[in-house]
Amino acid sequence: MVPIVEISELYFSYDNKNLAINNLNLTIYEKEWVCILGHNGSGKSTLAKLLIGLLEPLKGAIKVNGKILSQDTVYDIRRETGIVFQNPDNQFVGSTVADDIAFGMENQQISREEMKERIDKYIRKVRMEAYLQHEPHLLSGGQKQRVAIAGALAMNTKILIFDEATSMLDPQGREDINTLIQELKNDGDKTIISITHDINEAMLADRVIVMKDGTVMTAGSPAEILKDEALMNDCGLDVPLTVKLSQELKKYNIIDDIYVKQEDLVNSLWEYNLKK
Amino acid sequence: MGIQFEKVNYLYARGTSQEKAALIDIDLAIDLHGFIAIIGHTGSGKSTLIQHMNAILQPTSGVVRILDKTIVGGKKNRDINIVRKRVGLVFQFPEYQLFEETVEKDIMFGPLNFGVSKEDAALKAREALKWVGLEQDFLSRSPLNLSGGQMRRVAIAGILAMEPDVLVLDEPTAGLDPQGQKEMMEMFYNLYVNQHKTIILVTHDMNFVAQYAKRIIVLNDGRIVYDGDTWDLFANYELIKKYHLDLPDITKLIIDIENKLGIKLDHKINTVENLAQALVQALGGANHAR
Repeated sequence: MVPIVEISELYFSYDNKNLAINNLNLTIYEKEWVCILGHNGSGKSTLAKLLIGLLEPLKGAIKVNGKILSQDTVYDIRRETGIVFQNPDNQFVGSTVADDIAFGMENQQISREEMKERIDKYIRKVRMEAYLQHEPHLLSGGQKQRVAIAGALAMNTKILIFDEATSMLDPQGREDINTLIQELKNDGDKTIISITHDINEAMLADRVIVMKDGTVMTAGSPAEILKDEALMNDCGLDVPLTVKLSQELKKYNIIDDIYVKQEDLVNSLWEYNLKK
Repeated sequence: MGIQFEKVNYLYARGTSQEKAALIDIDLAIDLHGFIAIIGHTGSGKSTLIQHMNAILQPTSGVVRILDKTIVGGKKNRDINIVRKRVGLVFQFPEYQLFEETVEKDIMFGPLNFGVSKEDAALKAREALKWVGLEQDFLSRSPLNLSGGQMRRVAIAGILAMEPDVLVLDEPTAGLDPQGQKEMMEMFYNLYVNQHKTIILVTHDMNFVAQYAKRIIVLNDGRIVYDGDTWDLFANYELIKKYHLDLPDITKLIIDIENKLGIKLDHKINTVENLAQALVQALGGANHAR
């Protein structure tokens, strides 16, 4: 595994009093899908802003793709890192969907032909090709986020950050985006960092990092983390319904394990029903 | 009293090529002191419907009665301002509308607008802040330096300070973290139980609908297609499929289990404990062999 983001002893404060990031250490590996979980105020979004150099740390270092983030390298590093923000309404500049996707590329002296090619490729990827000439503000929240993702993909960055990109969407919009992130993961050429408090999203990731009080509380596979009721409650989250039902059914010896994924729980019940 | 709709129609962009019926033949009676959910897909007419409830929109035809005020479609209706005080409408992301320098001024804005004296408005602000679960020391703070959840509480306090009988909430939990969502819903439930407010909740979150609302209204393409008991709807799989409605997580899990195992379970089961017991029974009792 090749590290792509290395964070060591990172500190940050908005007001020079309270530490929003407090001695955070974290390594993220190439082509990994990492989900950063935590309640509002745990420091998740601050971390995202530090990663793309929107905020400057008090102390500590962030290394992206081997380069230490500093004023000299911030523009290079932003070329490696795309981000999709929470509010679909706050990230549009173009008057059409196509213009909007082009915007990021225009800052990078990419040829017109190449731009057209990329717009075409990524608008299909997010299944919004029918809306290329639409005005972004007339789209639904989920559609807007898909356009924002196409814009980020068009930059051909190695890393893609989703900063609570689904939290303002309706269930359909949320599902569309989660499906899309999964496809990007399966394509296998991006490192994906998704910041969320949606446990259904966390379930799909390779690794879950739990943040609390500005630091990494623990990290592990979704199965390990999401079934830990004490841990989840401690950071203001709830365990999935499947975990609660598993706990109950274990009391009756119907199943032996605690399941996080619904499919696994249902399969285990199905096996029990066959054997009995 | 309460809110009644009689044969209400509402046309958007009337007389233009874009004319569209947003509400069609709406008949609806909402008595005071209930907790009601309104659901439907984006574009189904939910927002248009709730904006009729405090006369921000007036019907193209039909009659809307809001408490003791009658609003007749297609006519000029006078003195409807008073309705907005008694039916408080909280839009999506209401915190975006905070603008004053202090929380206190922001909450007092509504009452002052309705001619309440400065002293009374300040008293009401204190009271409203209590209802939304914020400490009094918030009054002097800038609303712009609060967390998202706190800002939303302040915005809601601004509506509560007008002492409405009815509180209409459009996606009040959107964008909050799970803990913040739960606290927000508990706060509304508390207003319903202890302040005897009527709560009308527009949401996509079926878990909250299942937990709090006894009655549910489903809108589809501008029409009411279901108005009745919440769990009767969730147990009616045909209707759910027909209108592509979402279900509470527990109901989805029940249906998954039924389909895979070929067994039948009660779709109205609403707690994990009850579901476990029903499963144990359906699978032939607890397993003592192991």
